[in-house]
Amino acid sequence: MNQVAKKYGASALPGVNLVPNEIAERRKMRSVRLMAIVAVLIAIGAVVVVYLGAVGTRVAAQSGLNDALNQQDAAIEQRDALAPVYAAYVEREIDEYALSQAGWGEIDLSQFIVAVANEASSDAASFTSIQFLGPSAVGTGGDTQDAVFASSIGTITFSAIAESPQEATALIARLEALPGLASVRATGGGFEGNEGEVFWHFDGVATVTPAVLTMRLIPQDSIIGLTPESIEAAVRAASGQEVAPAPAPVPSPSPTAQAEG
Amino acid sequence: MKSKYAPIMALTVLVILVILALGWFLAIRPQLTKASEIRSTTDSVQSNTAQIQTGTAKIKQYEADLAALEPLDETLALNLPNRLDVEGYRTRILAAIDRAKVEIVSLELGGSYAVDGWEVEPQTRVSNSIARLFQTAPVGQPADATVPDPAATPAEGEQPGVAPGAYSPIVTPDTVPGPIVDELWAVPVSLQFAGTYAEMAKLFSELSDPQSQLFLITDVRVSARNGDSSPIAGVSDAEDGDVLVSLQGVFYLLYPSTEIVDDGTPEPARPGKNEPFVPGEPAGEQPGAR
Repeated sequence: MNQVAKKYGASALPGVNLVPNEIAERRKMRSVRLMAIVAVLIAIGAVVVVYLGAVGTRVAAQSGLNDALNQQDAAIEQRDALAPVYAAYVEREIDEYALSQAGWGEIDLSQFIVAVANEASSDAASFTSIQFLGPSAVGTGGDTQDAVFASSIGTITFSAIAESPQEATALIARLEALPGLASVRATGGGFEGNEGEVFWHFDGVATVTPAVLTMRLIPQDSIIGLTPESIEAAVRAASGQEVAPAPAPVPSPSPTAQAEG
Repeated sequence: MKSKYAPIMALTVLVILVILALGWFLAIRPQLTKASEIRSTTDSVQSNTAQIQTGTAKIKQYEADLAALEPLDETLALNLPNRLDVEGYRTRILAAIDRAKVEIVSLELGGSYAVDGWEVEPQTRVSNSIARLFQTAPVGQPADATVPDPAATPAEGEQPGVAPGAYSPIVTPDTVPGPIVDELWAVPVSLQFAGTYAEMAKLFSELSDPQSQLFLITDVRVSARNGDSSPIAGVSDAEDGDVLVSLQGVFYLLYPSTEIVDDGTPEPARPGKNEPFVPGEPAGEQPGAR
């Protein structure tokens, strides 16, 4: 019921739409089209907004990547600036290996030769000659080529005279007991006379062991980690001799280096 | 439902769906995919950076460890010089002979020879451990896309297996087994002298002076020189208990200098009062003579 009807007490009558149906439908159609267009525009707008958000995300990610790349470049620059450390270690290795190779074979002969000679300082036996072949930078000194009596870093061969074969044996035993000598044996012997004096002449050979090496030139603060045993094994391997049971035939790096893997 | 607006509504829904689909697949999703790839690359770069920084810290520790070691410069300069001081070694040996009171028979300088350096497995070298810390290459850059072809033949000046533009570390580890020391030379010196047993020991002690260059005695032959031994020119007659000693020692040179050193310019020289080919005063008794 409309307001005029309420004012004059008119009975409730059904409302009459005076607008023609064609016009009303045309309006509705316009409205529906408008709604459709708005809906499409909203959809386009939504796509644009989400797209802009995605672009923003990508740009932010790219910015983060650029920062990370800059940090990486700075880290590499800082690391590469330490290249002289590598060169310094190479130089130190050269120095240590050079000193070790040149000096490992040093023996204090003023002690060793005298100690050997002193074993015959008696009336019962004396040397007529002593020859020492010691180690050097190119390898060990001498090899008796006898598998039973193993070789080591050097060799001593000697000739001696004794009043009896028993005294010769005693001299061999004393030499065997001397630190720095091993595998002492006589290679020949017999009585020989000269101007009425008869002696038991005999020749002998012995192996010089690493016990007499001074090792004074082997750096104590070593980065190459060489030891007398590993040096001896390395030298024997390099010179083509049979390698006796020993630690690694090649020098081992320091524990620090091993830890780096 | 049958309505004359239904086609419009259906068309509208269809258009919206098409817009959304096209927007998603052609615009939004590529951006999100790209952003995801970039974030993934960023994670790789950050992880790689952390690895590089860890390596840098280790290198710095190596640097500190090396600085704490006792320097070898003086020891090397003394024992492994790059030039043999001829006057110096002769003076040293002759002075030692005088102090030991032995009598010299001969002194010879042999021909020098190269010493093959000890061969070392590269992986056992500390320097190689350090070099490996320099091998971490940067990631996340266009150059990463270039993968070297190991079978490709490198052009002149290029490292094998390294593609053009690929990362080249500032330090390359040595992978070939071989000697570390490649220029160690030996100069042999032979000496023969006569004296008593005690004098011989004294001379060996003099020659092994740790304050002088290493003179590595590698070959010694001690022979008894008793009273009935043959005389030696310039040397006192033998007595029972004397020894005749022949020894050979070696001086070592590291990276020997082959530079010719010849200071000054020649001056005019004419024969003077001296007669260089007329025998002078004969040798007298040696300081160690009895």
